[in-house]
Amino acid sequence: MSDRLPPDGRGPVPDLAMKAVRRLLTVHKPFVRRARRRAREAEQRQYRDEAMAVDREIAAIAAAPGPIVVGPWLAEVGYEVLYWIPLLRWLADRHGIGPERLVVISRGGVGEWYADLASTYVDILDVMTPEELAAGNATRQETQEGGGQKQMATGALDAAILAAAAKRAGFAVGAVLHPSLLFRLFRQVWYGNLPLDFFWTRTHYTRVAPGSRADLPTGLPPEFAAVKFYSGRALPLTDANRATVRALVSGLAATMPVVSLDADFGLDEHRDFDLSGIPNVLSARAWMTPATNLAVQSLVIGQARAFAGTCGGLAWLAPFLGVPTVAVYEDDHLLGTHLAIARQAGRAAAAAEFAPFDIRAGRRLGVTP
Amino acid sequence: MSPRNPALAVRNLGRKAARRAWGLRRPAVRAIGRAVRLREQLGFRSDEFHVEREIAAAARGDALIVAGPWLAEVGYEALYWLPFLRWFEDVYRIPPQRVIAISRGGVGAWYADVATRYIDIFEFFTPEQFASRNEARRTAQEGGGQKQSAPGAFDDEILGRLRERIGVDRLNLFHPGLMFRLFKQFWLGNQSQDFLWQHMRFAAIRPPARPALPLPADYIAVKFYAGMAMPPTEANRRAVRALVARLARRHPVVVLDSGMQVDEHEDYRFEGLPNVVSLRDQLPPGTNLQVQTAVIAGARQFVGTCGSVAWLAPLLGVPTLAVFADDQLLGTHLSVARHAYREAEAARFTTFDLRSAQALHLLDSAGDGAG
Repeated sequence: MSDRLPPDGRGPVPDLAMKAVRRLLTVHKPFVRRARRRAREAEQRQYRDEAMAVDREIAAIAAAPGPIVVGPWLAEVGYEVLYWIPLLRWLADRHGIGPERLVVISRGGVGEWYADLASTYVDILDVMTPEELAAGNATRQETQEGGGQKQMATGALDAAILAAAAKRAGFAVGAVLHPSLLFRLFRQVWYGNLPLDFFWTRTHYTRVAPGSRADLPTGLPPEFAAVKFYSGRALPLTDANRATVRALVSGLAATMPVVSLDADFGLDEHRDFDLSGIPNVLSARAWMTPATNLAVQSLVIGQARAFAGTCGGLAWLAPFLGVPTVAVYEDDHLLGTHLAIARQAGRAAAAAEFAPFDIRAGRRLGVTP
Repeated sequence: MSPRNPALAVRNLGRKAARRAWGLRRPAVRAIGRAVRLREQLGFRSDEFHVEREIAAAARGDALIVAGPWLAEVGYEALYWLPFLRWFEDVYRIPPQRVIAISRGGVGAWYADVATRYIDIFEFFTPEQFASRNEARRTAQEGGGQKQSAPGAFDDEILGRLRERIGVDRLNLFHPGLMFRLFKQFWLGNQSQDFLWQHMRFAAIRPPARPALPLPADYIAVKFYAGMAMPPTEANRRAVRALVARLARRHPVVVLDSGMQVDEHEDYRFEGLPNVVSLRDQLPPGTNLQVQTAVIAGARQFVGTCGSVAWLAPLLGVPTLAVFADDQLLGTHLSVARHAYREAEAARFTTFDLRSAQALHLLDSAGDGAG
């Protein structure tokens, strides 16, 4: 430091005083940082502890003697194929549970999805009508889930289905592996508060047998592409999207026959896009009933040369059936984690190609209307 | 079991006992697996703790802090390093006056809000020297990868030249290795996204002035280079050419092919397409990223390979379309990018998977210049 005064004429004392004041003002900062870090660590510990508690619940169910009822599955198709079944596969493998111990309850005739896991499958639509299921599910979502489709807890509808299924299939309701375990186990992974490793160490992805063409009605073209476009958060039912979807399907239908898996049975809030009148497009609706709609759709996809549809639902399943898939969306706000998981899971299971298509990008490039 | 066949009964009971005994190993195997995993997790946490201490040490005192030298990929710099540096300064109350950013290619504008001084590595080394020294660093320290796990001989040399240049010997180092080590377990899936968000501050980048180049008044900036996300196959070349031809039908296209080969990413070229101009001869190596940044900032839209400056463009306020043909290594970065752009209120960022366009026959029509 020079002996001379700086040009402003101030001596070194004010500078030193200012420096001391600045230092004093920041003295608390390391403590604040530490306190924040501790609070964050406590929060993280809580998330992990909650997830580990679910882990223990699952282990206890697996350790109990006798049959285990799996379900009833009342939530979205996408979560069922992308998360629930891979979790069950891991569980069966990890805890050495044979198919003879598992009784699966779901809807839409999806027994084949669980064929390697469970020897008994009971369809909800065998114990109640589609209208009863839709109404019961709507009430459940409103009263238990704040309007969401997840299954965070068991409720009256679960109890009614379990009792009816037990009566129909002749099993005693003992241990129940309820879907709420899945949603509680992985919730913090989806929120980004637990690492993906937590998820990968509790799921097991494999290819799914595509079924036999012989099980399908006649009238299916020898070679075709399957499409399923329904409305939802990822693909809202706007005029622009209607036009784009019709253009995409028309383009595809110009190269090969297209089978549309429109199946508006009103079981959920998703409505199918109208593809009527497009040349070379055949609707599979007549082949389905509410009780068989998902079974038929997955059988048709399994026989297709390619699948294109809304990013969600059966689009997550198609690559695991060995069918190259284009998953279309306009809004990826809720898709990020699921897309990342689907890609990695597909690679792990040597599934067919899964290519997402963002309609906004197509429009900006001028390749879609 | 028939009571009339004691031998069979004994055999069955023996088998059952053996099965039970064999099953007993399962809890033990599970417990061992859990213990191994726990030890691994503790190791990760311990590494993070040490990195956090090194970060705190870099902030300590009042010496100038060198942020860099940045020797790795442009994409990591834009998407991770800048937000990480911003977090560091925010949490430790470091004024930008204390920070000297050091990178390459004239990217001072990227650091404008975090460092009042920016030094370019190309002031010390020619682009060719930089490329060969960086290659040697990657081979010796990173097993051929582009990351920067720790300072090495090349860093030391750059820092030595920096000390000479600014005439200051006592410097704190905030090295990119801190970031690569801290976030490594996140990229590998062993750490949560939330951990990343706790160590980043996303913000828009002030766009630099329009460069003194003969550019159209209204144009789309395009940069396609070969890499893992866009392998240089004939199919990809044709598809990308078809896309650029389509874009050029609606607006003039300015192609940012630098012609430089400072890493393994070779630019796709679009000679012969109408309404497409290339900046190949107008990107001086020493300032190529500076000029590219300015050209992107002045564009109505950016379209290019998903990576590198495609991660930067939304932060400059330019709607961006990131194209890829292979997303194997992109999943995590795409999730981070989407979150980052929302936080920074950046421009729209959309992706375009060439495979989906091919599957939907969207690029099949004639006259796309794909030939």
